Formats: sequence, structure tokens, C-alpha cells
Amino acid sequence: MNRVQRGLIAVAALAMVAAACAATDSPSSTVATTSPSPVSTVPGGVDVVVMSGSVELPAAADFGDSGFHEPLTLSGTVPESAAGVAGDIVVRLVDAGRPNQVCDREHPLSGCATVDWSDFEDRPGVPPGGVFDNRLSIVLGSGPVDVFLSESGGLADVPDQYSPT
Amino acid sequence: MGGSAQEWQTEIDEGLTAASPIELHLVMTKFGGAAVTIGYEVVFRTG
Repeated sequence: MNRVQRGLIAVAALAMVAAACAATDSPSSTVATTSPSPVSTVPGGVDVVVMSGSVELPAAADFGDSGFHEPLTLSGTVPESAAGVAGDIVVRLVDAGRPNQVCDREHPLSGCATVDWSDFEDRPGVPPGGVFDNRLSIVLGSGPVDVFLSESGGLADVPDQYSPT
Repeated sequence: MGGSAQEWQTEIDEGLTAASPIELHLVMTKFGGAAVTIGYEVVFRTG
């Protein structure tokens, strides 16, 4: 199975999550669900879902509204099947309720939901220094580790530099 | 982000600790229109 096929499987899985949430009228929350079950077998290995779910992101009409620089904390517990061996850790996000949504740019004015990287400090919800906290906290054998989502893709050892757009 | 999943990935050498907590902290914006449902997934890929 190649990378494109794995991506399609991931999108299908996230779409199913969205459909399930829509059916149950899931409230806005930061509650995560976990699943220890492998979701797919890839050549030479297995993808294990460590944590998955969905969360509602409100739509802001103005600076300072909910949905403008909205902090989300999603938590779970590492299943036995994902522990103790080296491998790759992957974070996936998708606008699950709008599978046909296409973004011409990753900017809030595009109509798309965005992960926020940095903004001017005088705006509501912007931390000192202007760089937002987009971080995965995990526990390795040597102790707790944070890796940071990067605007350029990948998970990095340090947060992105301040670069508001 | 749109209806196609965005993905961030890195390799870890030591492996995760069983039954340990995992937390994903995000700051996101949706400006205008209606609220949206964000699907999220953290996957560990062995091999």
C-alpha cells in the first residue's frame, strides 16, 4: 500500500468519525476517544490509532469571539499495542463535516478552519511572543517529550518562529 | 484545512510508554460561516 492509499484510508476513517458524531449530535467539547485497534496494515508494519475523535470548532464573527484562536486540548491514553517500539507518530486533522471543502490557502479568510501559527500580540487570544501552542505531548521511555506541529509540515523539536501573516 | 486530511509526522526512536497520557494541544480559527467539526487522529506506525 502506498502513501496515497494510506492517506485515502485515513480520510475515510475520519469521515466515518464525522458521520458518527453528526448522528449523535455531539456537543462541542475537547473529549477524546481512544482505540487500541490497528486501522490498517502497511508493508512491514501496522498503523495503530493512539487517539482519535472529533471536536466542534465554533465560527467567529469577530476578533475575540469563540472560534478565533480557539485553544483545544485533546487527550487520551497510549494503548499497549502502540508502546515500546520505535516508529513514526502521525497527527492528522481534517474538516470532517465538509469532505468537499477545498482551501485555496490556509488562512481564516479563506473560509477554511486553520491551525494558527502566530499572530500579532495585541489581538485577543494571542500569547506573549505571538507564537501559538500547537504541541503533541507524549511519554517515551526516557520521560515526557513535546513535539510541535510546524506550519511547514512535520513535527519538530521546537515551535515555529514568529511569522504572522 | 479542508476535507482532505492534513498530516504531521516524525520518527521516534524509543517508543511510547504503555498507558501513558497523550495530549494534543491546538489553537485553531474558523472565521465566518458556521461551526465546523474537526476530526483528529494520532497514529503510531511501526515497522
